[in-house]
Amino acid sequence: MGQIFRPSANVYAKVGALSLFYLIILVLLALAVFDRSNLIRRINVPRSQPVPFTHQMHAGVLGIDCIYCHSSVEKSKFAGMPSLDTCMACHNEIQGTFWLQWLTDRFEQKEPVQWTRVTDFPDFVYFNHSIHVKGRGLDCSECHGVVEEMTVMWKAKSLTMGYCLDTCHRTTWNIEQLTNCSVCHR
Amino acid sequence: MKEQTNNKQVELAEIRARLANAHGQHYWRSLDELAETEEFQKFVHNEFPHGLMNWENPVSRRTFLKLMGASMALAGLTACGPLQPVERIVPYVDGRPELVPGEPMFFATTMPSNGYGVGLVVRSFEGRPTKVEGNEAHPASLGTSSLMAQAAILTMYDPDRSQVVRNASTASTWEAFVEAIAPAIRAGGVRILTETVTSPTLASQLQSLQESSGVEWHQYDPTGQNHARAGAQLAFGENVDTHYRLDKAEVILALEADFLDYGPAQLVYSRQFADKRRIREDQTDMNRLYVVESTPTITGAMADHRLPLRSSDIEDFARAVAEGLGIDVGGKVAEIAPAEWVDAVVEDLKSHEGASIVLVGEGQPPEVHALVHAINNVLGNIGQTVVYTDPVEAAPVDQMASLQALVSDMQDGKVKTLIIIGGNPVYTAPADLNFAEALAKVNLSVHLSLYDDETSERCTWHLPEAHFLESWGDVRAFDGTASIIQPLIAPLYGGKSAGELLAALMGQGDAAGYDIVRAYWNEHLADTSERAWEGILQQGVIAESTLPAKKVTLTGRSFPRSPAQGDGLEIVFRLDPTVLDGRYANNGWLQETPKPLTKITWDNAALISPTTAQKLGLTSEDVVSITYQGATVNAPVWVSPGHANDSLTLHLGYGRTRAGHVGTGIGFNAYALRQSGTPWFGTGASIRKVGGRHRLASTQHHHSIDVKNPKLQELTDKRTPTIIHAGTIQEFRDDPESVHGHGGHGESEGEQPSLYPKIENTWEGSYGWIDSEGKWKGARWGMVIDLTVCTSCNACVAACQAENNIPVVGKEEVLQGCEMHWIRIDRYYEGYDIDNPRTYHQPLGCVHCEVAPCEPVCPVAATAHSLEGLNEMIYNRCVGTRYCGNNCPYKVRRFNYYQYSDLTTESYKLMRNPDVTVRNRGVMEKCTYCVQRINLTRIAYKRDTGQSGYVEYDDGAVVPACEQACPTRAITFGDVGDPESRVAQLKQQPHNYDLLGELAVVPRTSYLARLRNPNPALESPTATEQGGHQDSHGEE
Repeated sequence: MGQIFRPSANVYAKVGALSLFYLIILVLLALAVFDRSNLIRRINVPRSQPVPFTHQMHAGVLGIDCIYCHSSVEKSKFAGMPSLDTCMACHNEIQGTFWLQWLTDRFEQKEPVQWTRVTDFPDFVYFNHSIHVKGRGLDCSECHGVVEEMTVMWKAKSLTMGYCLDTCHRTTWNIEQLTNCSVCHR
Repeated sequence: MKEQTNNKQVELAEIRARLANAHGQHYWRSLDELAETEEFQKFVHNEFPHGLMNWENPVSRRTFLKLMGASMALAGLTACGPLQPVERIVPYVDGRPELVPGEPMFFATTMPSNGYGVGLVVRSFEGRPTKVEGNEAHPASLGTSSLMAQAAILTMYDPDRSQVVRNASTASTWEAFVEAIAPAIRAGGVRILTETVTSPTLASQLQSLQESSGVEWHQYDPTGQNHARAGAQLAFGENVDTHYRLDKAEVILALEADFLDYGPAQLVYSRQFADKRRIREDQTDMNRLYVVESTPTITGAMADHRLPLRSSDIEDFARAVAEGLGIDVGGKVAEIAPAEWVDAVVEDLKSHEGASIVLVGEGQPPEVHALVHAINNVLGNIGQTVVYTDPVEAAPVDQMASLQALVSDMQDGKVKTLIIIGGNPVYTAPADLNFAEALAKVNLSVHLSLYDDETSERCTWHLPEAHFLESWGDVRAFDGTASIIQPLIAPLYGGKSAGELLAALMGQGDAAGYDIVRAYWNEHLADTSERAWEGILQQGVIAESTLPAKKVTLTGRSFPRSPAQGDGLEIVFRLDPTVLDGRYANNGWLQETPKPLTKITWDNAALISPTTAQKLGLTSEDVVSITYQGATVNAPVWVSPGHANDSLTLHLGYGRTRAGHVGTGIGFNAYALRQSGTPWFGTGASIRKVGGRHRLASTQHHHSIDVKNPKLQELTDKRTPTIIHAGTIQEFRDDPESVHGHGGHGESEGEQPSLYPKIENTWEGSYGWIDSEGKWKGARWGMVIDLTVCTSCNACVAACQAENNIPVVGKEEVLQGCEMHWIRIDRYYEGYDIDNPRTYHQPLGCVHCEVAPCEPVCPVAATAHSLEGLNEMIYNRCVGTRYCGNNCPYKVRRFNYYQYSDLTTESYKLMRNPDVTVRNRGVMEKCTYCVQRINLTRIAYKRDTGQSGYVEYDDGAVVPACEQACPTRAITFGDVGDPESRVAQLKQQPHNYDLLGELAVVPRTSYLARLRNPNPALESPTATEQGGHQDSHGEE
């Protein structure tokens, strides 16, 4: 019986095995990179909302202050989302498009709008807006980016633990107290 | 769980023999420790002696692999979706400026507890009540709260609560009920059965119902104060309520009066009692408490002298005291107690005229109450330490007689319609009345209650009741102060309040609870403006509604003895320390809270003394059948050191057949033996061993500190650390350091062999951080617990559970030592007399060691030190190696062996504290010093006071849940680095000591030694060391 494999098959086998090994590593690496990518972390990824609200118009063109709608940002851990009557304070007068009519209908039927959360910390992180904005005097854009230019909202910064520590907690603020684990995790 | 059959039994005779030859101060945890049973050894040497219990389950290797495969596959699936799940934000439609999402709001309300109110302040997040605190403005609370108040929140969210109106066996509606009841009311023969009513609104509604439709009103509450009322009648010829001013009393004699644990004024009495016992270097005056009781209680454990006597003999003791004080009691007084005891008490009372109190418990017959009024009169206490007022109850009646009258009318067919508001009479009525059978003879019966319980089952209509946190109402406190019950949330399950039901009976089926209460007070308040009303709601108290003290004259001059009961085994009925009369049976927090003295969870037991156990040949957990007055129940025995001999205590509140998923079918029903003639004790019971054992989940041995461990002794220079530091007040006056015995403060002294770096235990040298000028920065949190005033009422345990989202694990898990409470209250006995040892309590949570042994062993740095000195636990980092728990000398770390937290029940999601993580399986947890409160305070300070950098806190700015709840203010928390802070001042006290301080781990929680104030006539100062020893000789 003749040989099935020629001597060069050894080379193919070795190269093949080696490439498979590297391929696996490459795939794992790619997965790891992909997992940390902006796409997965939803950084710079516009998020669709139930109503095409535009920050670019409200905050940018009209120049409405952030706190007008996100009213608890200086009082609470949660920045607050405007209740529908906040919208209607202006849109009682400013009417005329399909979506404004949709909004008015929601208000009249007492049906809240379900917004998609754009900046979402994991549940084990206890972030508090008021201490950063009022206590520390940070501008919203430090973490949320140039919101007044965004037509559809997206997350502008990674807001990972490394981001918080490297940007402020361990660097500019430089107070050991603020690197205690329990400051954010409890 | 397999039965432990080969376990070495507690041999009481052997223990006694050994103790007879022992000397010196001697502490022991339990009879098992003295007998060195296997079970005890296992728990001491191994925190979880039964190992990984899941391996005991018959799970084959194949099943295991299958399950593993499935979970791997699931893990793989989740990994495929690395994106965070999308969350929605749903803002209000109509916003209100005062509603700040994420920030809690606080509302004053009142908890009706057996008819009497205790003022509360409830924290609410976005309309969800999450935590109950005491209301400082309320006279029955003084800012503190009880175990039951802390657990109220769980009952409110209980998914087992009844959710639908039921007519016979079909679901119905409130409207259908209103329609059906109107003709029945018109037809007559209507009776209403309520529990104790103090509510002014309900009382006025009931009165107008009686007047308009001829309805008759009965009251029955198993916790009612019938004997106290009848006793006052005998003594004064009128109905009066008795109030004590413990803050003015130097000598207190409690005759089976468990005033620190029960009753409408429990919190107030606890505080007043403790205020007279706060010993400091410059304040060494202390009251003295004598307790005579059959069942060991927390009041007895606090006593300076405790005498176990059968309940039926306590009357003779009272008569002996009365005779000693010169009261003509008539007839011969039986000599039941040691003469020197009676003499010492009499002398002590005599020398403190006007500054002493004799209290008597509801369990004693009216004759004893009357006699005690006379004793207080002779001592000149009336008007000083004992104050009388008109009754707080709206219609004070003998509730037992009221129920008997109702039942006999029901039997005779005179009752056409019976409306039961609250309560559970089918379960709680004395067995001889046979309430259930009588109820069957009533045409139309209605039951308004939180649960579809035993009584609801037998009623034609069942109406779900609104919890007090869901409904409007009002109630009076023990001193008559009225306050409003303000709802925190709309009824979760569409319940109705008692007021709404009464309005429906009067034809106003759609009256709202708010309108009913408001209408009443509009007629009875001077200022009816909206502003004044809001002030009342905000304060939680209606001003000037407190009843004035009343002048009484003693009219009863003869003191016949109550009908003598025969000899033989005595049976004593007591309300359960956690589930009371059974009303809290479905509350998992209360079920899992260890009973203060037996430490039993999830069960009741027949308590007997070691001597009686020996006589009857019984040991703990033996099942016996108890026969009394022709009825029989089977119950497990628990040998309880300190119990009176020839007496048997049964706690009510268990053996429920229809309580809910939590409370049904656990324990035995002691009501089955209870007779209306002898509601609290009687003699002539018989007890028979039926064989078999019933495992009782007592936590006493769990997480025991093994002071005899050779390794520990090596570390502590061959010394056995003393866990409890105790002494008498006289010793303290002579030499404040003497309370520490040979061990000193428990600080590391001299050159000791130690695993850890040498640390000076002075706050100047402690863990923290220093600025460039060498000054300390920030706070250094610490705690001091005063063992002299801790009564072990368990309020802190439940407060911690509510604040920190601590799960309930169930009886099986408790048996394994897996209870999750962050605070445990260790009980220690002292002395050589196992029939009457001294009892000590020690609450213990994580002590936040500065050199924490748990930290270096964590492979993932999930437990780390904060620079404020907290030993922090980072759940999201924890991988569950349990090395930290293994290395903790205090054994205060708790591991989630299973998914104990209920993540699926919708209503519990509303209940949780949003500032604390709900832990998953596989995570270690422990006391955090309420780090969420520290952080929120820091944020508030920085945000609102403009401080930056290191915050300077005011003393008392951060209050952990345990300190906030503590009725006696035994717990103090604060910045030990601030020399002005309360906690730093306490740490300077000479009787301050660190638990296991010999280990040089420098705990931040320290204790003030337990001090007693014994009567020199009963205990010579030199004999303290072996006082108990001598007693035991006397007894035998």
